[in-house]
Amino acid sequence: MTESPLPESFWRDGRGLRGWLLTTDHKRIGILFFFGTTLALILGGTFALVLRLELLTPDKTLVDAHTYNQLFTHHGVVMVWMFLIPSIPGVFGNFFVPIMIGAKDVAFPRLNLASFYVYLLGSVVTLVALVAGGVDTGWTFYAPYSASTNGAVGWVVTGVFILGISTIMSGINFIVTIHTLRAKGVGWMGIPIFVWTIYATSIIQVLATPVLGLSLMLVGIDHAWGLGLFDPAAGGDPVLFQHLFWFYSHPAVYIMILPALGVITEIVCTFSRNPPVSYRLLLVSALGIAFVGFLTWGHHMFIAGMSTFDSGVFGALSMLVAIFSAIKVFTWVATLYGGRISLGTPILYFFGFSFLFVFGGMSGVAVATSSLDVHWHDTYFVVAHFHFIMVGGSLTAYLAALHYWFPKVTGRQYSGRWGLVSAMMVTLGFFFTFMPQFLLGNAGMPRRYYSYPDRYQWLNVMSTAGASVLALGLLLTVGALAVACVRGKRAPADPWGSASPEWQVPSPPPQHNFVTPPDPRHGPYDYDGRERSE
Amino acid sequence: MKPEEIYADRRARTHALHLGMWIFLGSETLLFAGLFGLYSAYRAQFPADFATAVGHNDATIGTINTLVLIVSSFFVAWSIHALRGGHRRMCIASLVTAMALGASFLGLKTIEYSHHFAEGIAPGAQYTSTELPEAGARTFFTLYYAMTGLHALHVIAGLAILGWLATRVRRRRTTTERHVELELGGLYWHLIDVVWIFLWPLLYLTG
Amino acid sequence: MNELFRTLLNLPEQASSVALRIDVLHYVVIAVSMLGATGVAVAVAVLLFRFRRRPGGHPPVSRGHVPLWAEVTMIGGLLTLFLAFWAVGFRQFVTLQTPPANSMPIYVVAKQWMWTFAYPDGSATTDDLYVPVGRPVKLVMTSRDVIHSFFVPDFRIKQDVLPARTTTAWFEATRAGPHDILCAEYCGLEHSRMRGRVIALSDDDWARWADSRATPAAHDLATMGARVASERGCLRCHTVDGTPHLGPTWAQLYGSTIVLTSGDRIKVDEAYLTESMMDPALKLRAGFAPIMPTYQGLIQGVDVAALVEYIRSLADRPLELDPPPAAPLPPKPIPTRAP
Repeated sequence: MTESPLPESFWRDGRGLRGWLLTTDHKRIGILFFFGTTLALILGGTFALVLRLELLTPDKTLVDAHTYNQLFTHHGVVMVWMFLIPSIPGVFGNFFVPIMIGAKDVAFPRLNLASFYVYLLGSVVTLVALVAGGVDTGWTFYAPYSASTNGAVGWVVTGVFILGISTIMSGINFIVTIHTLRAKGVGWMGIPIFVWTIYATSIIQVLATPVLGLSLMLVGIDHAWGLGLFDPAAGGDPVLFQHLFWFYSHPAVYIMILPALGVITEIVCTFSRNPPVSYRLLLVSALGIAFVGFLTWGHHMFIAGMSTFDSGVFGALSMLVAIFSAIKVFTWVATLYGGRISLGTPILYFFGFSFLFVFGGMSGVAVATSSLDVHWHDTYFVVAHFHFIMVGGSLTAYLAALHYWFPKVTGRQYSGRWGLVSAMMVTLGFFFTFMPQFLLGNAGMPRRYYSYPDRYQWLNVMSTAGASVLALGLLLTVGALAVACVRGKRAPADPWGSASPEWQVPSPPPQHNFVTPPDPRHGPYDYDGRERSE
Repeated sequence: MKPEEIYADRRARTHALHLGMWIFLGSETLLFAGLFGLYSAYRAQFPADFATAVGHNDATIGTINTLVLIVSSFFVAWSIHALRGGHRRMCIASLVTAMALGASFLGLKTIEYSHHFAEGIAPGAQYTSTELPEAGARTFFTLYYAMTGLHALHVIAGLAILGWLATRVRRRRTTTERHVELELGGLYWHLIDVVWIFLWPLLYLTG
Repeated sequence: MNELFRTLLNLPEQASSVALRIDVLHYVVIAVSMLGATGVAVAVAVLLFRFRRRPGGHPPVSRGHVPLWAEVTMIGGLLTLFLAFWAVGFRQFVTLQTPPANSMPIYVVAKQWMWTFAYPDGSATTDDLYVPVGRPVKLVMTSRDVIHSFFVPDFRIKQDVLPARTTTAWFEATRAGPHDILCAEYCGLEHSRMRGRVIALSDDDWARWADSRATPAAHDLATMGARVASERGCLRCHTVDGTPHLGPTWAQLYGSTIVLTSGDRIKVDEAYLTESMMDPALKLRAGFAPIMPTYQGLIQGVDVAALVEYIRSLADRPLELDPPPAAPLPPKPIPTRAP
């Protein structure tokens, strides 16, 4: 009896370029987001490299003060809104959430494509700002400076506003998809934790991003026509702007880390061939982060002129958020226990992540301690803290995701040796870039400083050296994966031996995701069950 | 991929569209919430000035506008009821009536704005009136323009949506059997109405 | 021990009365953080090794569930630890935010990109702040333009400085010597060069410095301002009781809103008052002729601050409308601007 041939992989649909530019296939849209966000990472990283080179000497090295001020602004804007926020959800959320819940696509495929084009439009408008005079306000656009400075403030706030619309579209799509398109027999507790983290992220996105949109609109109008809402000469209060801005921007950092925590969960479970020690705890902690994350914004403003009482409240709530992350860490570690762990590149990334994320998170507990934050606020300590989370956490998880799902997406396998080398280079380069910055902050070096007192130089040199290694490590990572795309060995459907639904479909998946309908009898972590039925 | 391939049946798709719409309305609510938050903060800072400035607004026009929107929402709801009952023409007429009311809303706001401008009450840096107590009144009116301006943009978008829906009904693309877009557009219009119902007391009645 | 940790963590010297206790909390929090992170990483490494997949496999270790009491203990324990950090830190924070009653006030004005300090005895300095060791000093701060932040790493203090508002910080220096002041809120082009020094002087040096300030005795800036106003001819054209005269009255002026000849409305604040002394015709009040001479280059910074304080003290002055003087005095000839 002849078997019917396997359907074509999603990479081929016979429609050429149109099949990519007008696709409504969630997997292809994920690939489109991959290219967009990779370009953003390269651009944002280039800004960072130049500014780190500038900081090699206490005064001018390469550029003047104005250019430097623009560099750190552009670095922040590009990294936050063009890379970190869209990266894991846009690439891996799009690609895998439908497959993980047994659906053929997302709830609104055309909205999905539109979200990519809106992302593209927002990115282009933001980039226009960079060439139309640049912006030097910092990514936080504080009033009254943002209203009074020259520069392309209008362009950049418009660009970011449009990018925000893209995230809201994505968020709506994911929430509805997860609610309504779970396959028959797949309950809320039958979906991988990664899906829960995308769900929690999407809730934050749809609720918080509008407030960003409002803040940006007000900054733009103030800058162009003098709105005066935050201008003290007109009775306005610049501290109110900070409240409005951080009400979005604190939840935004959870948008940037939650999907990463989902990726890590999947990798830990797959590589240890264990279900999570407590599915419930991971779920509750994801939702807890999303909810409590909305209540902590004032910890950016302890010395901004806010009342002492408010500072106390925000500090205490910030401690609460940290607990949820700690719960996840303990669950992952406990999940490794008793496993049958294979040592692939993704789990090695987890090893680096485990130190960097925990230390970064604990440095967050540290800055939530108000008296300590008085010294650390607006210094390199804070810069180190959030880079430990954003790079040591989110970017590390993103690279881990790339190495984890690479065989599924491309149908090929990469060299484990190069994977290990590049992972080590990235992790060590990262460590030497940002660990010195904790010490710089302790010594009192403020952030956004073009020139600095001489005694801070040696730590700056060390940080720049680390940044160079980090940059090379990232290039190596990308290069190795690119080579594997062309010359890698064919990968089977389930090279890691995972029980998760996406590994039960071919590598790469066909256009409609499933060859045989997904089998809901086995949950995403049902390793014992699978073994028994095999 | 076509909806038929993704959803089990049309009811599932309709349900998904409704859910998506409600989430979108939630995000729109948060957009306005930021402005309500700013209003509260500044009102707490300038209670007397705000009260005086609110008193300066024309509560008559404000109340008429509220009624105009409420009635327009009724007509939008009626249009859905009509189409469900198979009365295409009544549906279109209701939609057109709602649009006319929405346009009147915008017309009345334009009249209001022009009265304000004539007195020197303009947003932000263009504010030149000396009648009212300074900083508080200027901040109030800047917020007034921001809130009603953002709302008016949404009304304009709503008019476009109602117009598009009326056209679809006329061309029989939205039908008695399949009219989920009419329901969703109606929801949007109702949100605009609800937002106004909160703006109305804050900007006109609490003087 | 303290020195060891302080050096290891690259902290600056502890030169204020609160620095040591803040640093001790710092050591505890960072040590816990480093131990925690290292502990987790070591645990992961150990587990990756111990439970690595071996050829031939091995029977899975029976794991069971984590019992509820263990979960609660772990979460409860961590929460208690974090809230303990918070509690100790918040108490210290309240101390940092509460100047002692006997603090010596010093007025700080931040503007792009410099710091000016006005002392109770009426003198003023730029960028260097002179304080005595061992006495609490309260800084009353405002900005002329955008948000700045007053940061002295050696003292472990920092406070944002806002326009049109005053914020307060306090410290008691415990070690003599210069201590860097750095602006810690991005404020534009020269943000990183907006620096100064706190010069903490021991008792003898402080006494010597105070004497060396060649300023007339004045109890406070406002009183000094009244004297300056009389000496510099301001009162020829400005009254202080509401009487209309050649220039606007200073009674109830500060904080009010006025209309300019351009039609713009502005609020009278420190910035406007200072500008009006330096460039009177720039923002001329409607209803007044452009006859005020400029005082650019003719008046010390401290006198400007004193005048501003004096005018500010008249903000609530009741208006007594005396009849105007019999005949207006001839205006002073406008001197040529200093080069």
